[in-house]
Amino acid sequence: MNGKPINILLVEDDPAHAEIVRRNFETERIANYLKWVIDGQEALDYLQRTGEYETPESSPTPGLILLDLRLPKVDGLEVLSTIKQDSALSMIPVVIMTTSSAESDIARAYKNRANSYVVKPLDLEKFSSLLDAIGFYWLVWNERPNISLWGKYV
Amino acid sequence: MQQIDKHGPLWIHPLYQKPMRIVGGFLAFLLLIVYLTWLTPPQFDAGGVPGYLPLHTLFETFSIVVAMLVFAVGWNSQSHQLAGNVVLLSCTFFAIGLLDFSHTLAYKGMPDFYTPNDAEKQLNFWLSARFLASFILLVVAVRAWNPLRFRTTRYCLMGALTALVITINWLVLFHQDWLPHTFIPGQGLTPLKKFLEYLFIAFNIATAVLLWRKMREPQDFNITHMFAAVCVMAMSEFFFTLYTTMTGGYNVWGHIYKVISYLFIYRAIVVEAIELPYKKLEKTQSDLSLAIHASNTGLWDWDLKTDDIYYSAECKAQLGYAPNDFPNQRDAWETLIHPDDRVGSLKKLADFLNSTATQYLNEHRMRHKDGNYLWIEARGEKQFDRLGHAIRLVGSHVDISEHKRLEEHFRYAIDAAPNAMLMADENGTLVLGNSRTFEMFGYTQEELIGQSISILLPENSRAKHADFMKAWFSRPLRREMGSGLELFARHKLGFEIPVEIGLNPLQSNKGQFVIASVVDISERKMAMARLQEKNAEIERYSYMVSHDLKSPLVTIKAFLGYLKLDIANGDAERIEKDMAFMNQAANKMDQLLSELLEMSRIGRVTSLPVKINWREAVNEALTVNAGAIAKANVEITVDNNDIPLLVDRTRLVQVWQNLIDNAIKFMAEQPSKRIHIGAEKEGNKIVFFICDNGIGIDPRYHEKIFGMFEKLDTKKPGTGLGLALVKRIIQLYHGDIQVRSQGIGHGTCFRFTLPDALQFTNPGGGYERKAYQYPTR
Repeated sequence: MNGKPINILLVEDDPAHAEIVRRNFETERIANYLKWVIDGQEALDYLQRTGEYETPESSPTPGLILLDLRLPKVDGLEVLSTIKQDSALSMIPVVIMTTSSAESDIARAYKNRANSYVVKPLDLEKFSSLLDAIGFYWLVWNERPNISLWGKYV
Repeated sequence: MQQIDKHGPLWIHPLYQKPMRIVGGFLAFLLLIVYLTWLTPPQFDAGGVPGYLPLHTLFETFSIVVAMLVFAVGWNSQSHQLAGNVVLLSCTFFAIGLLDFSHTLAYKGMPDFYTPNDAEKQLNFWLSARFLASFILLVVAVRAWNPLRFRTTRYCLMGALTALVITINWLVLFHQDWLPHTFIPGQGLTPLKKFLEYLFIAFNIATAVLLWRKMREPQDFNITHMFAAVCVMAMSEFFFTLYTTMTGGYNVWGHIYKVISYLFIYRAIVVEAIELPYKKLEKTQSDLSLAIHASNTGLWDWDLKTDDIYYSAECKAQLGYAPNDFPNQRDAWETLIHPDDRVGSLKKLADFLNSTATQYLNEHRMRHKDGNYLWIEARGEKQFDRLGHAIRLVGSHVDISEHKRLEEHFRYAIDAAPNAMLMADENGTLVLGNSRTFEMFGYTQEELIGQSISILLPENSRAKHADFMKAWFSRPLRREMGSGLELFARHKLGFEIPVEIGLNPLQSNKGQFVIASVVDISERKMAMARLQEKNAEIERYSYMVSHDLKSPLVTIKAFLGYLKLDIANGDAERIEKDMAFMNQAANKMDQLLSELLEMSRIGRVTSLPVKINWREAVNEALTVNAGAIAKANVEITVDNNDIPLLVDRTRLVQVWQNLIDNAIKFMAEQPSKRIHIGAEKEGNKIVFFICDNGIGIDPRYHEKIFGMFEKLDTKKPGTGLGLALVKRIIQLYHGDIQVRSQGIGHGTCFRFTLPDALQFTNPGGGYERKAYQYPTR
C-alpha cells in the first residue's frame, strides 16, 4: 500500500453496466473514486493525459482498470496493449470484464498481458460478489509496485 | 556338341537323312556293281582299240559336255551373290573339260594330236584331269561356302587355270620325256600311275568323310549331291586301278562312273546356281504380293516425262475399279481426289517434285466408285536419271480410312469431354486439342497445334515443367499432375488459370504421346474463397450475437435484482431508474434482433432484379426518411443524370436509406445542413456517392465503421449495423464502398460502386473480370 487514494478506471460503453458497477462499489465503499469512461479513445486520453484530460488533477493514475473488450472507436484489446506497452502504465492491473466468454477473446486478452479476465454474470448477486472479490483482491490484498522505483529493478 | 556326339559318329542332320537314303541306295547299288565286277573280272573286251575307240570318244564327249555345262552354269549365274565354291568348281571344270578333250584327242587310235598318240600321252592328260577333279572337290569340301571376296578373283582363277591347261598340253605334247612314265607298253601300268589313282581315291574318300561330317549341321549347298559325286568318282578311279587293257570292261565301267559323277556335280551346281535363287526369288515375290494384298497396298509408277502412270490392280481395286476401267493417266488420279484436298495435295506434290527431297508422303481423300470417299496415304520415291533429273515417281497408296475413322472417333470422344484435353508428343509439341482447350486458353486451333506446350504455362514454371515432362516420358504412367501443388496454366491474354491436370500415356505407331486432361478450377477456387468468407462471417456473427445480445440481458437481470431490493426498500425514485434501464436494454435487444434478421436475409432472400434509374431508388429512400429530414432541417440535392440499373429495388433503397439516415444522424449543430447525392464516372467505373457537411469521421476509424455492431458514438441511436448492412448489399453486386473524410468537422463522403447492376448496359456483356474469370458455357 502506498497510501495514495485508490482509483478505479471503468472502461464501459454500456451505461447500464456502468451503473451496476457504480452502485456496487458505492454500497461496499471499496473505491473512494471510480472514474467511468465510455469508449477506448476516452480511456487512452485519460491514461495518457491527452485531450480533455491534459491536467494531472483531472486524471489521477488509477490503481485498477476494469476494461470491457468491445468498445467504440478504439477496441478494448487495443487499449490493453497500449497500456501494457507504455512503461508508465504497464504496472497498472487490468481486469478484463466483458460479456464475451469466447476462447479467442480470453487468449488475446492474456497475450496482451491482461492481469485477469472475468465474464459479467447474468445474476445480480453473482455480479455483486464478483465485483466485491475483485475489489478486495486487487485493491486490498494485492501488493503493487512503487512506480518511482520502477526503473531500478528492470 | 555333346548332343551331337550322342548320336554317334555317323549321325547326320535330319534334313539330310531322307535325301541320303536315296543317294545312299544309289551308291550302294553302284558299289555292288563295283564289287561284283571286281569278283568276276569282265570277260568283255571291246575288241581292241579300233572297236573301243568310238565308245571311249562317246563317253569322253559326254564327260566334256557335262564338264562344260558345269562351267557354263556356274560361271553365268549371279556369281557375286553366289558361294565362291560354285565359281571354283565351274572354273576348274572348264579346265577339266579341256584336259578331257586333250585326253580324247590323244587317245590311241585317234588321228595324231600334234605328236603321235600313245598310251602314256593320253594317260598324262587323264591323270591331270583326275587330279584337278579330285583336288577341287576336296578344296570345296574344306572351304566355307562364302562368296568370293573380290569380283575379279574368278577372272584371275580362270586365267590361271587356262594357263595350267596350256602348260600341261605343252608338257605332254612336246616334252613327255620330262615326265615320269605311267605306262610301259608290254608291261602295262607303272606303279606311279597306280599310286596316283590311289592318291585320287584317297582325296575322294577324305572329301566324302569331310562332307559327311558337314552333314551334321544344315549347309548352304547341295551337300548330298556333292557327296554322291565324290563317292562315284572314287569308284570310277577304283575301276581304273584294275584294268589291264585300255579297252577292257573295267575301263568302260570307269568311264560310265565318271560320267555319273560329273552329272552329280552338274546337278549340285544347277540346284545351287539356278534353282535355289529362283526358288528364293519366287518365295520373296509371293511373300511380297501377299503382303501387298494383305495390307491393301496399291502400287503406282509415274513416268514424269510422259505423265503416264501405271496403277496396280490393287490400286484400282481400292477405289472400286476393275483393272481395265481406270485409265493409266495422271488425270484419273487427280479427278478422284476430294475437292477439299485437291488444291493442297497438288501443291504438296508440285512442291515435292520441285524440291530435292526424295520421299513423298501425303494423306488425302479419294472418291470410291460407289461415291464414298476413302482416306488414302500416298507415299512415293523419286528416281533420277544419270544427269540427276527426276524421271520417275514410284509409290504406294494405302487405304487408311479405318485408321482415320478411329482417329475421328477419338477426336469426337475428347471433344465431348467437359475438360480441356490436349495431346503432346515427346518433345512437348501439341498435336491435338479439343474445342474446350481452345476456349479455355483463348487460342485458335491453328495458333495452338504445332506449338510447344510451354506456351500454355506461366513463364516462371516453364523450365521446371520441361524437366517434369522428361521424367514423365521416361516412365509414362497414368497419374495426376503435381498433386498437392497449386498448378496454373496461362491464357493467351497472359492471365493465369488455376488448374488440375491428369496425365495419360498414349502409345502409337508415331511414338509416345501424353494426353493431358486439364480442369479449370477457378470456379471451384472462387466458390471455396466465397465459402471461407461465409464461414468467417458466420463465426463473426455468432461471436457478436453471443456478445452483443448478452449485454442487454446482463443489464436486465442485474436491474431486476436491484428492482427487487428497491421495491423492498420502497425507494420509488430508484424503482423508476431501474425500470428505465431495463426498458432501454429490452428495446436495444429488439432492435438488434430485427437488424440481425435483416442482415441475414440479404444473402438469402433476393427478389428478381428490375431495371430502374438510380435516382428512383434515391427518391424512394428520401420519401421513407422524409420525417427525419424535415426534423433535422437538412437540405438535400440529387444529381440529375440517368443511369439505368438492373437491381433488387428494395435492397438498393435500403442502401440509400441507411446512408441518408447516417448522414442526418451525424450532422453537426450548424445553421446550413446539406447532403449531396450523385453518380459520376471515375475512370471506367461508375461511382455513386453521398456527401454531407456533418461532423465527419476521424480517418482512424474509416475501416472500423463498416464492421457489425461498430458504433463510434455510443450516445447516438442505432445498433451499429447500418453500415455493415450497406456494405453487404454492395458486396452482393461485387461492388465496393469507401468513406472519405478529412476528419472531424470536415463532413463525410461515402462512395460506392455496383458493377453487377451495370453489367447489362454493356452490349458485349463483358465487364471487368477478375484475373482468372472467363466465360463458361
